[in-house]
Amino acid sequence: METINIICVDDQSDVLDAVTRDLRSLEQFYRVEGAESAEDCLSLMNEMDERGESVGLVISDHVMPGGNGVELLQKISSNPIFKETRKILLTGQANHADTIRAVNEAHIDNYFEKPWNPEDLLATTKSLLTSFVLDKGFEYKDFLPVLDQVVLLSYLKKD
Amino acid sequence: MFSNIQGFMADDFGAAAVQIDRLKRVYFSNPANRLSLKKGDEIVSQGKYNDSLFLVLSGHVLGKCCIESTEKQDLFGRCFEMFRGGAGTFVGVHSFFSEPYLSFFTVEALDDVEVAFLKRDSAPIEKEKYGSLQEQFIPMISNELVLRNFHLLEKSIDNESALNRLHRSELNASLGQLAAGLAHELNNAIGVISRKTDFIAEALDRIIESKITEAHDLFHLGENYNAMISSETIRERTRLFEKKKNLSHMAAKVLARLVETEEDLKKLDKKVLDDFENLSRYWELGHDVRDIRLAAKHAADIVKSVRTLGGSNFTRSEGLSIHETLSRAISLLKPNLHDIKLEVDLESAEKMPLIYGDMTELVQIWVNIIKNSCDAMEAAETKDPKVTISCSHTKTHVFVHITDNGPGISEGTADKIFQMDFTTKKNGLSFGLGLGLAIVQRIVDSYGGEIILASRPQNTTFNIKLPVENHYGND
Repeated sequence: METINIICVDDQSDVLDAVTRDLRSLEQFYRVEGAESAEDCLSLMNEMDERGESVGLVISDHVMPGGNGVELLQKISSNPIFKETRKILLTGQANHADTIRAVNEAHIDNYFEKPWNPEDLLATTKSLLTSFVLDKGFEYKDFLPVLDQVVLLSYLKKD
Repeated sequence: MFSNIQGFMADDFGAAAVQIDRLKRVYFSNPANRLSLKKGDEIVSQGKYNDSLFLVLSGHVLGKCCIESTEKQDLFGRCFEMFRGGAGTFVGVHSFFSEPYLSFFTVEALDDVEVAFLKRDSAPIEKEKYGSLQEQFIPMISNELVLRNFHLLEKSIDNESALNRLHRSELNASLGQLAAGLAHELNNAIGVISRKTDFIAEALDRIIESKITEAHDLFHLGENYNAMISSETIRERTRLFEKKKNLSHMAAKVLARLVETEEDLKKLDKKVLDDFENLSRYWELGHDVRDIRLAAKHAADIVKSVRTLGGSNFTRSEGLSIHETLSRAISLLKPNLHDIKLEVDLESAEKMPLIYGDMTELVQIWVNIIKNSCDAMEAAETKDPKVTISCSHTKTHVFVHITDNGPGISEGTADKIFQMDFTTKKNGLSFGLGLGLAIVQRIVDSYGGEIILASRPQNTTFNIKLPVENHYGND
């Protein structure tokens, strides 16, 4: 079975802890990792790639010392290796200009404001990873219990 | 400005000045054509016929215009200053030369005034060389026009800065009210969060102690967890424990945070280790309690900082000693300085003139700047970190210089450090609210002071300039 990682990025360890815990129910199928900075996230992604694992989703905080979330997600989206990686921006301070930039330049898939609703975050994560699994052509049956049924059906119809 | 402009005229329009001097000499030196006025006497009156041109010889005059048009009802009857002048000022310029010879303003004496006058029917002197009376007086008219325009410009600049000051103080007041209101509400909420967290923690503690004895230590370890381990290290150890201890990713992650060395691992109860897959969640439970407490404290700290942003709670008064505010700040900071050396030039601080201000605000300034220096040096692991404080002063201002030998502030960063929300600090739980220097800037601004930053590696100085007691409010 493919090893698919979810990376959560936040400079505040308590927030990081809470986000990763919200995704714990997926741990049987996906690996949930935490990174404390943009730099840490990028080096972790390279490690994973070297080990032959894939990065399905990055959930990044917005304002962090050393490099903000929009810039991080932008870097990821411009790296061909991680072209399919899904991206969520989790932000404590959203303003209009930042949102536009995040959508246009970093091609983020979703946007959450802090404090986030854990069910919504989990549902969005599932649906983004479902499309990731299918786009990558992985054996979807391995992930069946955590796949989003609506997304799955729409893909199967297409085929 | 008035006197500057006159000087400027004399220097740069030498020809005009010579001509005006001649006019004064030839037309206004007849002692028979002089008048003495008392304070409040009107030389010319608005709307009244005037047939003389006056030259002020001594004393001061004020020209004012009163609104008589009924179209401007709200201003009706109000008088506005048009110009002021002393010896050398001409009065009645417009009505003297232009039909129907009615005066536009009222010009009154501000003290004992002596004027010389020239009647309109006077014959021009040296007409062949200098032309008619009107022609001869053109340099004076244009000079007077320029002076009065400059006077109005000066008034409008004054008005604008008064308006700015007013706007700023209103902004401060409303922000202060808002902050105080918010602070009250938030503090109540935070109070509930932290008290209830304590109750839950105590209940959990008792339940775990009696029912799941082997997890009791783990719960406590989680509650008091204080290690700073990088997420990279945690990930490495997690992978290790997953394999070595045959633990799930979740349980291995807990163990990775719990033990730093093989020794730590040995210290753990064997019973605990054997059942770590199940027991790890009690560590997490304790750790959750810890995170809630820290977050509540963090929130309370932010409320405190925001409250000071409004700054309406402080009372400024005379006789505040810079030396005392510095000593207070230093005694507050001392316990947290660690290896950082703090050198204060007490002698220069004692010599400082007193200022008009509030102790708390001044202490805030010093604490925030010094703390900022210390944090920067700590983060950069500066060798032999040191903060030096010295003072100097001029007649009108005191200067406090706070210097550190830290990494310095790059030009790009220097533009941003006084902005709210800007932070370079990593540990979100204790520092890095991005408010410290914004508060400093705000307080210093409200004193009419200034912060001058000079930074290069190994030498960063914040120079804080504040007005001395009897100069407060003059800027």
